[in-house]
Amino acid sequence: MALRRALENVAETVRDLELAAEEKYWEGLELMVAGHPGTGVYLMGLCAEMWLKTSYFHVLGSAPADPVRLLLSPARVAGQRLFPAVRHEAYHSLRFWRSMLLSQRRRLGKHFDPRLKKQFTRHVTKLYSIWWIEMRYRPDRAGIRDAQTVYEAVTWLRAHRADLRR
Amino acid sequence: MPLKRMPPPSTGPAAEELARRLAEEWQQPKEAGQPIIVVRPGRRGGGTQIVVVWDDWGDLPQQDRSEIIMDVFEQIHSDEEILDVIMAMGLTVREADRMEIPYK
Repeated sequence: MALRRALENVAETVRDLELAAEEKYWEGLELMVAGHPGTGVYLMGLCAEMWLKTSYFHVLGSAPADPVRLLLSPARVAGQRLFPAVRHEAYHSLRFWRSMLLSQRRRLGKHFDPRLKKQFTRHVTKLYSIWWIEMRYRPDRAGIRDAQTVYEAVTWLRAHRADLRR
Repeated sequence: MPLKRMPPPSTGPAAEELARRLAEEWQQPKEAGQPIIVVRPGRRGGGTQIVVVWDDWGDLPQQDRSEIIMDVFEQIHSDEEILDVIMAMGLTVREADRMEIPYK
């Protein structure tokens, strides 16, 4: 069976996103080190999106085997109530998922340590200023400094992903 | 040849009709028949899960069904209930039985 068909036949799960984020983190790093900052930044931004999403899903009590496509529309509707001005950008916006994660944690009494929250907000804000899903249709313009910023922010998210979902 | 622009499935007339009928059922549930709406608390005290078993979903993709369910849910529930939903799943009877989803 062709790869696309094989993948499409099975709905991606929360666990799949976590595995994909881990793979793409290392692939993105390899590309950056090999002198391809643009593609490296793109892959690393995807990792950030996946770690933010899965953290949010975990906080709300989803299971690793839950299909991601069934978890998106509840987040959209909740986001419209909480942050009508923040667009979800076809569910890819880092700003949207950051806001959702912070807000739902607060609602559920799962408050962040203030220092962690400050670092989290700073890193995701920096990422949002560089990465968005549509950049895949643009020629690579990311420089070494962009790659460095994205690398640091995504590495921070990776290191703290257990704290984010706790 | 005339050019016909078709709306995306989750916003087209068929989806609107499904949404209208689902809202009707949610507000005035019938004794029997479909759609069957199941609202259950999540595992380990997690968010609410909504399952709508309905053969009229037909070939509509899973994500479109999920979007319709949430569009309807949003119209008739409070903010707190909306914020608590983690999953919205639309299934035909055959799909629900295959997945052993308790709904009867």
